[in-house]
Amino acid sequence: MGIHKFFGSLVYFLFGATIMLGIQDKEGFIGCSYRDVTLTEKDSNPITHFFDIPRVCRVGNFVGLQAALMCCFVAFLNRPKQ
Amino acid sequence: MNTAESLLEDKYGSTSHPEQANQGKNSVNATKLDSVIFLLSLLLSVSLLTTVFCWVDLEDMGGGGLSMDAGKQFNWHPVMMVLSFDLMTLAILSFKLPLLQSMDRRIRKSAHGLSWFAAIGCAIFGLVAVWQSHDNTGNGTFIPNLYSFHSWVGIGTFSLFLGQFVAGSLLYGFQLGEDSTRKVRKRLKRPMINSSATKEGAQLNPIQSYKRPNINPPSYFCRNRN
Repeated sequence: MGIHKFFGSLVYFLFGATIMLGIQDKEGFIGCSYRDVTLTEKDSNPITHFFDIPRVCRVGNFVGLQAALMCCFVAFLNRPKQ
Repeated sequence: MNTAESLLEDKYGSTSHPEQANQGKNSVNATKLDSVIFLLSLLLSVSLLTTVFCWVDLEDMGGGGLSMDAGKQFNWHPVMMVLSFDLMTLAILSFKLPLLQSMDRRIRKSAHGLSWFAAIGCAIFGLVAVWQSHDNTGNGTFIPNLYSFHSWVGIGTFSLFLGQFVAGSLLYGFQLGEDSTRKVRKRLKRPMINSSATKEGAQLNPIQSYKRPNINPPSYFCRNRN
């Protein structure tokens, strides 16, 4: 049973990681960067450019963040108990 | 129920399965934080699926929407993979689901197995969709299938997933594994316990044999001397 649980969790976390890699891949194809903005100075305050990121990239980032958070929650719930 | 059987059951906390006893203990030990995190993870799985639907609906995702037409067929891939991930979450947490805690272990096992089965179905659908979308671009060119790190990790994970599913189904679904071993062990134990009036039985489990009402312990010593 221990091995079954270990591999089940491993498959789950690898699946989550693959989803995140896939989002990264897709965003590369789309060409996610600040849209219609040419930076003339250092991007010291990136948050001001949040809405310059194309919507498809922002939504994609949120999908990845949610997948990562879900992995964290499941890892917490599956922690070994005394 | 004879004394030996009752002792065997007492050992496993008045249930026939040690794992069931452990799970009962876990549910008692479950903290409030566990319940909150559990609820959050369920909400998050719904939110994740909704967000991915919104994502594939955007114009930049091959025109947006789900369809089997060339160009839009790819969008099935993220949707089905995220759905599979959600089902996997349900499968992993099925033994911790408060609704199922009071139910029979077989029902919880069925929920676990069915969720994994549905997850594997969705994953296969998603993989077929991405493969066909690469082969059917609609402009006479083709996209390579397995060149990126994502695809390599994905194929590796899916192979592991299939192996885990087949092994889990055989060992725990069709009772060819630990459970059946436990049953055989239990069957083997019974005659040994019943024959505890013999010298070997007494040596293996002396306390238990003393508990049996019709056994006279000094008789073992007499037999040993002979």
